[in-house]
Amino acid sequence: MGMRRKDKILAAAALVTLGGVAALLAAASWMLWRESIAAEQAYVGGLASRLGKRTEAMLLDTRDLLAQFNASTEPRCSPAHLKLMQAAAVSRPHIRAIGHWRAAERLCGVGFLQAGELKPAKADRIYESGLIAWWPSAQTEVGGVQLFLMRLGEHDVAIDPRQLLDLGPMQRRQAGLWVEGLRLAAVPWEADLPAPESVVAGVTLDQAGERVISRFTRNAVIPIDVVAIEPIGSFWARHLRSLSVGAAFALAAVLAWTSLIWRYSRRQLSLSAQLRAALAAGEIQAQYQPVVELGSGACVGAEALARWVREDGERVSPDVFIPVAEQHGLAHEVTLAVLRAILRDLGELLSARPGISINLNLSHEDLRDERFAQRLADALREARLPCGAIKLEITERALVNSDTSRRLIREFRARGHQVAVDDFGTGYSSLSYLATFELDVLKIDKSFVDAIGTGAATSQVAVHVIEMAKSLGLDCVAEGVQTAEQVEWLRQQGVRYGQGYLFSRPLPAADFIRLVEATAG
Amino acid sequence: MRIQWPVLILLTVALTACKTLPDPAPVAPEPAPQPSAPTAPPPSAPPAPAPVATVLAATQYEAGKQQRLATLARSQPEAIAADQAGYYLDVQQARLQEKLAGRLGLSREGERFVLRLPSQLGFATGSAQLRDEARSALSALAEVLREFRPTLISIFGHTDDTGPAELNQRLSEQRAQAVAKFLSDTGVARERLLVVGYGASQPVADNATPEGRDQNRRVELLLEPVVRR
Repeated sequence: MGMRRKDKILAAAALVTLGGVAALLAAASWMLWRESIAAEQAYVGGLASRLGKRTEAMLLDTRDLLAQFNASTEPRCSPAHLKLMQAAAVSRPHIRAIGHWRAAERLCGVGFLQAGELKPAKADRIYESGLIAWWPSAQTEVGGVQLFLMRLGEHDVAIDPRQLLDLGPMQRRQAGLWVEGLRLAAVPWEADLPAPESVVAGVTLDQAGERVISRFTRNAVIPIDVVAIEPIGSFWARHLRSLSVGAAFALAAVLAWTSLIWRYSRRQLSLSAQLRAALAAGEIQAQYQPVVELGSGACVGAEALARWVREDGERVSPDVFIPVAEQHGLAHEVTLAVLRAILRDLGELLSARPGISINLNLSHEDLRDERFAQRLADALREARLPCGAIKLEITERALVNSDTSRRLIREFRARGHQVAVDDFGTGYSSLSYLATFELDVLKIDKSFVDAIGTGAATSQVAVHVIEMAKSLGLDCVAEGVQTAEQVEWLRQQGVRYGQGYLFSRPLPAADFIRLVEATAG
Repeated sequence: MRIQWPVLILLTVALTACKTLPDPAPVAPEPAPQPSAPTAPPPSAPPAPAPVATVLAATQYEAGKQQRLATLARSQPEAIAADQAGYYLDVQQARLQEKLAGRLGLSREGERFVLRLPSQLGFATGSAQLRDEARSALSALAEVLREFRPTLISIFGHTDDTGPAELNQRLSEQRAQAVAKFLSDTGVARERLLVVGYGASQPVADNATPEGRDQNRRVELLLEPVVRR
């Protein structure tokens, strides 16, 4: 495996994994936050609604009480009058005192304000109806409690506003209640709360103060605002459970994502994917093994052999990648890559020397439809080379018994290509089968050439193969020629051409060109 | 029935010319406590009743008022302690708003109240007689004033510019007196009332138009708390 590609792929995989994890966590966090905010909104909204209704009811009730007292016909400060006030006070826990006044003198009353009267210096609201109200402040303080006072006509009521706010569900929140824009009550009483008009409605996060601020408004009869604040810590603590559940889900999602990436990466690192990439990157090149005339030793051409050299210099053997190509439907691309290499490397040489031809190996994929034929024609036309410059080699096994392949072969030959059957003798073809194809050359497989002179059974087969070729009128090329003895034997059998290490190993284009220049006349 | 100035002058001249007849009486406000229609002046007008409240000249008003406030602060047991003045005024304002229900123009200026009988409730030209609607509004005011005893009431009378200044001066005083009498009759102590006539010297509208003159014929009241210092 090439180091760089592998590293790149792994690095990419790691990056994508991390990115995915980050994105998932961000999404999870965002959703959690939204949910927490929504829960908070619902809670404080509900709270405000309850408080608002209760406050409104209390204020309206008080006003009605005062009107009722004023309208009473009982002589003022008589036992009956006192009884009337007392009944109203006792039945309402938030009422601390009810008084009967004339101008600025409290004549009589009930409740906890007997000793000394409250006469605050400045009223907060005086209404057209004659209702007058003093909000809780230092000037209404009695016994440490700041009371809320309301007066209409000759009666007034003192109210403890702390009764309005629930202590229970507050938990670690601090909350305040505003009526007509003036603060009526808060829990705890001295809580430092922002005024409603300075807070956006709903739930917001105050980063600087590290707290969550909620504000809700009720505007039915009287304007009522509720503002609640909570330290961020306790806000999160409350939502910790859903946070944990969310985190668990996120983790599971992350694991799934990671395994997905892993599997994808492994697939990418497979050889077929690499080959695909290599084809796209033009890493598939060709080397050329000279084909030599046995008699004269002159080079008459070469077989183009696919070579895969990775960018880091590592070579992948064709024995490895050709089968992979065929397995994954890449054989066609490989053939085309080699063709392009031939035309690029040797185009000039082939134009200059029409006697030289290059053998291109075809796969069974190439014989399946018109595609290859068309592209071959186009490529040669572009390179301005005659079809005779390229010979087509087809392995015996690839000689599929189909009409399409026979037709294509016929067409190749019609254009001017010579067609050779490669690795002959290793398949199961009979003479008659072979005769059904129009061929020009037969290449004797290396194994038979090796057997020459050894006395093995295969050496006899070689003779028959040569006979077969002759009877079909095919030229013979011996593959894998390594010794002079083999050359001698082959010549005696009438084999005209050969290729092999005796003559040359496969050469890079430059070396092959040099060889041709050197040996040609 | 409106009294015509030219007729009256002739009558006066005629009467003074004829010594056999008793002295003609100047126009006096009708002593009519019940809300009945104003009656025509009798041929022999009775002598004008003594003024109900102290009448101050415009120039002496401020000094006179301070003096009266001091007197009341000493003599009235209900005079307000200084630290309770705010409360007293707030509650009084609420009460005035409740009882008057907009019939009189009410405005609070710091530690005092200014009330005005609006032009609909005002006086006819040359008349110092209260209309019924005015009485109704004033009796509501009287109710509040009876409750809020430590209050000094200054009543200012004004006229439009028809007629000589001297007559207007007297008429404005008479108008103020009419209000003072009404309040006094409904239970407001006389010591709490001060009367000043400004004649036509303080118009609030253009005397050239009838509506303007209507507005100028008016009475204003100033309510101030009696504070014990």
